[in-house]
Amino acid sequence: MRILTDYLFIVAGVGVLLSILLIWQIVSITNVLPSTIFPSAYSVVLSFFSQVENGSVILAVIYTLSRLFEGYLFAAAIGIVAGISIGLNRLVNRSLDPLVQFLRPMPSVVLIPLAILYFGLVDSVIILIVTYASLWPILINTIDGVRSIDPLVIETANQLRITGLKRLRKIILPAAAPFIVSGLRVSLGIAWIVAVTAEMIGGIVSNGVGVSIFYYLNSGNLAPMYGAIIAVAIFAYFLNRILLVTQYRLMPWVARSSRMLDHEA
Amino acid sequence: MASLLEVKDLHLKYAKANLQVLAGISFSLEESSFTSIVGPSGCGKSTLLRCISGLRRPTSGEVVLSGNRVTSPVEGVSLVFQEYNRSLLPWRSVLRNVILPVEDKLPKSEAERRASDLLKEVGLTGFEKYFPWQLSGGMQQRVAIARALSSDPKILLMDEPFASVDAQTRMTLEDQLLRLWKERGLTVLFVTHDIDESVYLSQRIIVLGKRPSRIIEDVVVRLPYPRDQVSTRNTSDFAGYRTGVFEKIRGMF
Repeated sequence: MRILTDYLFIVAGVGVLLSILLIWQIVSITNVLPSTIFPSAYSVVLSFFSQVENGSVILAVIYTLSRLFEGYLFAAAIGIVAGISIGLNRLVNRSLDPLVQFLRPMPSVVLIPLAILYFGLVDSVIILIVTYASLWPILINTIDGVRSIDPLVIETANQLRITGLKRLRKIILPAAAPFIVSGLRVSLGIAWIVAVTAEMIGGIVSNGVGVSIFYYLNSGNLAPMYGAIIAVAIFAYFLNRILLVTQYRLMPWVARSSRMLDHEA
Repeated sequence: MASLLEVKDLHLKYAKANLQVLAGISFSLEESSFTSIVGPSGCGKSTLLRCISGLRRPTSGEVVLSGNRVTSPVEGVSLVFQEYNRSLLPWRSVLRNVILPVEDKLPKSEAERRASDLLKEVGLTGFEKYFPWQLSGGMQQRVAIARALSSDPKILLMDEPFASVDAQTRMTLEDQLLRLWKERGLTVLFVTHDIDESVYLSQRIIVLGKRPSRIIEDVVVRLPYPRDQVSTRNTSDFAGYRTGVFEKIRGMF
């Protein structure tokens, strides 16, 4: 019964996607919308596959991803270390809080001119912006994760005299891990947006999927532009998926409760 | 017999709420004895246990274990909480939960052997690789008891450990606990709000009064061991002890 409904849901989901492609195709070939702006769905899909086949879009995504991951890993390292320190220590919390409150609402893109000023037109600009933008969800979630550790778990650690680094490794980190990972997931989405956006700003870098999209736009080559946009969406989906599966694998006790919610929904 | 643990004139006051919880509690525990603490809810039974374990500092008074003053959690004292589902670590398997207290003190193979032996003693062989949340409440509490015993403590402090399991499971756990107590020569201090349970298990019952609490009665239970869930509970002596303790705290609930 459940398998049947699951199957039905998949069919329904794919059906909606296919219908949109079909409507797009019809709208385009009947010229309801100008085909110069909306190339037919068929030609976009065709162009997407040829870009995959000749590797151009894959290469572009790899350039983007390499900057994204560098920035993202910096953010993860800073966010987790700072988050745990802030979460555990009142003094650290009080001293860093005003700084965090000031920096956090600032849109990351306003730092682009500053970064260009400091670094010039290089990859580091994008890496810095990605780091900045993806830092906050990781930091805030880590702080929340540490603060919401069950007092009884802390008492258990106290009672067993687990202190120092062992306490961090055996108790604090695993107990806060579900929060940290959800911060990491939110940040990954943000990092992806910021990395592609920053590439679109003229002249910072000369490769990457954001650059490709703008290049196709400026050269009036619209089918591959849409193709590259589809590639961005597909990669974003898989990145999130990978983190989600990792989370289920490493934290079965969290997976259990979210799957239970799934059942109830 | 020599007294292993001494509680001397323990006072505890919550400064913020200006609430006096413990108002001069003194008693001592003999080695290998089984003592229960009963009292009306909110009288500070759990707080008292936390003071004895060193988790909480009393406002005044002291706890002395084998001649040494207890100011923080010490070797040789284990604590079992009522909320097994919160005190077991969900990211660790059953075996790794039981190993937790000794994994840095013993070689890995020895720690694992000790943990599997304990799991066998509490009847959980075969569940080593399960996670706590995959087990029933009674099984989880047995994991918690195995964990408490893995450091081979002299004293086992238990804070209403069977209050949230069903009646059947509770009886099994009570008998299992009595067996472990005898076999290991443990000194058990058992907090409960259930008078029947305290009479069934203990050699001695300390009755606390309403907050700010003092000891209002110290009862020696002279029922022979091994005790039996049916026949012991059916004796007139059992009924006598139960009535005696109940009279003391009647009207305080």
